[in-house]
Amino acid sequence: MAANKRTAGDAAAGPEQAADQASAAAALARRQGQIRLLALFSAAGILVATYLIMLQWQLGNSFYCPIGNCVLVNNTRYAYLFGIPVSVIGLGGYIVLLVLTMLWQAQPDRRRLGLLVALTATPGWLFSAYLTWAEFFAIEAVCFWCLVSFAVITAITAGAWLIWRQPSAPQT
Amino acid sequence: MAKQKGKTDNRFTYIIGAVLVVGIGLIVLLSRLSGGGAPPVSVTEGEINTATGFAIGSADAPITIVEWSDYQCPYCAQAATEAFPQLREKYIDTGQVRYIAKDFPLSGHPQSNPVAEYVNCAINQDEEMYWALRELVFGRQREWSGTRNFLDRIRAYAAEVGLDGDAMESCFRAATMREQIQVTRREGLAMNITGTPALFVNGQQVGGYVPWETLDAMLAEALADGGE
Repeated sequence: MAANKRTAGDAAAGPEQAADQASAAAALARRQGQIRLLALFSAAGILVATYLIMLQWQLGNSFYCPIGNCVLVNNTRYAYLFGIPVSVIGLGGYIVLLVLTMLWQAQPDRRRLGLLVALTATPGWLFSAYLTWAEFFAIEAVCFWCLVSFAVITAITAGAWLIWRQPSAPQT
Repeated sequence: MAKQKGKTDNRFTYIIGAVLVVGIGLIVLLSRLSGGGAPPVSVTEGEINTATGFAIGSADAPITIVEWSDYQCPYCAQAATEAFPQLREKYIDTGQVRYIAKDFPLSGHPQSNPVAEYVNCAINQDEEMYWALRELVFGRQREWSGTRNFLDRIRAYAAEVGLDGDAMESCFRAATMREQIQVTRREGLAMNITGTPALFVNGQQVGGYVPWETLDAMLAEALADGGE
């Protein structure tokens, strides 16, 4: 009798469980897509930082800077931290973020990885915000590519925290 | 299912890799192109354009010297501080030589370009002050080159020469001189210049750095031959 009961209950739970599984899988896939977007932003950050390094060292014949004066901004004392060009620091940061987001997108249900991405991106965003402040109020000149980099790190930081805050998919 | 997921993960890794490779390739390619938009002057290989750069001396002088320099290059500093003052006194001011200075900021000298952009702004105020600032900047190269506040030092030199700091600043911030520097750099590349200084006398490259005694003898001989 008891065995019969269990069988009937299981049969009733079957479609619900399947629906839950499907919804969890869809949520996980959606989250993976969002994390992949962060990885793409990190790759974009690598490209922007590379361009800024080339611009700072004039490793080319010409550089595109549609807004402001990139040469001026990249040759002020704000362009260095402990003697290291900030563009090089930015490149390092974006590489780390790309590695972390690639790991996270492969395991989107691991919230700790998400927290690590968010905690890594936040100091980068704060530093970039400080540099943007310096552009407007200390140097009084802006650099287009530095602003693009600020937009990219803002997107990564905000995105990482938002994705991390999403509740975990129920374990099925 | 797991196999399918692995395939998707791999595909995304390839996409990221492709984005990076293509992106960096494009960056390098675009930065190698010479200048954006239509060039304001044509650059002909092997032919010096005497209309660009900054000239001093009589336009009718029998000898024209063109020199491409980089503000962070030590030999350029030597040429500007040792040879140039004597060249000016003996040949330029006497109408025998017309001297044209062209900028050629080298890769790996990140401060040369902004310095050239700043120094060249002096020409908008006073030609003589431009030459004075140029000489001062080259002469004190060791003082500013490689320092983080180099632009502040250059600004101080401009003030020392008597230039209006506000006018210099507004010219510099507007990047007024950038295109001109790109043009002279392109011209240098078209002349197959690989280093600085690059000194040309009547269209023929004679150096590198040429010590004053050698240049003096060369010019005396050329003048004796009727400026050939």
